[in-house]
Amino acid sequence: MNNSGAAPSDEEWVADLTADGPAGEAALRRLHEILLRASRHQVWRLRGMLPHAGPEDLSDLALAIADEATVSVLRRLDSFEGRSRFSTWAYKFAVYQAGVEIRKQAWRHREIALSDHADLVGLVDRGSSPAELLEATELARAVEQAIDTALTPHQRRIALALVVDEVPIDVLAERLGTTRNALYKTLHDARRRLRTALADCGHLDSFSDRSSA
Amino acid sequence: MTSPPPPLADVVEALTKDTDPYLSCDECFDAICAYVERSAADEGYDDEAMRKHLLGCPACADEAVALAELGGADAALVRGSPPGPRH
Repeated sequence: MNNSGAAPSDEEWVADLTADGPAGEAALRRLHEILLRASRHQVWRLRGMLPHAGPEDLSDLALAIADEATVSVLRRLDSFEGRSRFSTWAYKFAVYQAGVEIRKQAWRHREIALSDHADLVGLVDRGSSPAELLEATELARAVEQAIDTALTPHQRRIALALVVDEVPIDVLAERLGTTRNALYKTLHDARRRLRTALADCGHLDSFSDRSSA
Repeated sequence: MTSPPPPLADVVEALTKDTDPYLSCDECFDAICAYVERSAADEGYDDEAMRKHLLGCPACADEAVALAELGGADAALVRGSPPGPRH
């Protein structure tokens, strides 16, 4: 670490964290400090997902996340390439860990039933004008039809769970014993098939402007 | 805990988002810090694959927002201006 009291440079961070003795210990404390700041920030942002957690619970959670993130950063230190500031690179481990942990806790007692059928017509706003109601119902039916015919059963279940039931992607990955990557790829492919199917039947224009904005 | 169902328009939009060119969540995680910093430094900066991934993946998008907020708070501290609300 430099002796000027200024924040360490990225090179100093890496050198100090790999140093033995007091320099290494001091760097480790600094790392934990910034990761605690990041985990507190993310826990606070997402606190609405844990309505029964009090300030002390959230504080304990942030500390546990900072501890885990510290281990992750040290394990991945070799992969820091300097494409961003070291602090930003380190933050992402705490931010990621906090998001995963909070979503997991929020869904801990919720059952996830993978559905084969989308009831999109049931989502139509019944308070709309007759013309809007008709248009929305037609669109809902077209999307339901595309989901039924253009998607594989696996794509259908994953897309409906992630988008209609709003199951967080990492929660679904854990329940299904798969990865966030695999689920996102399934959703990506499903979206492409739905766009093609809806374009073929002339329905894509009704919302393509909004989705490409 | 049961949330109200999302509006039809939001569901249809989320189901049909154009997320090409494809980028995985792991690739996003690897590139997210540089993307957030460059976006903050240059309003015109764009990385289409990252932008599309963040539009299509709420979990990664949330991480990007949190990182941007943390980076903004750091920048405020360096400039000597009072930081935003601390948590």
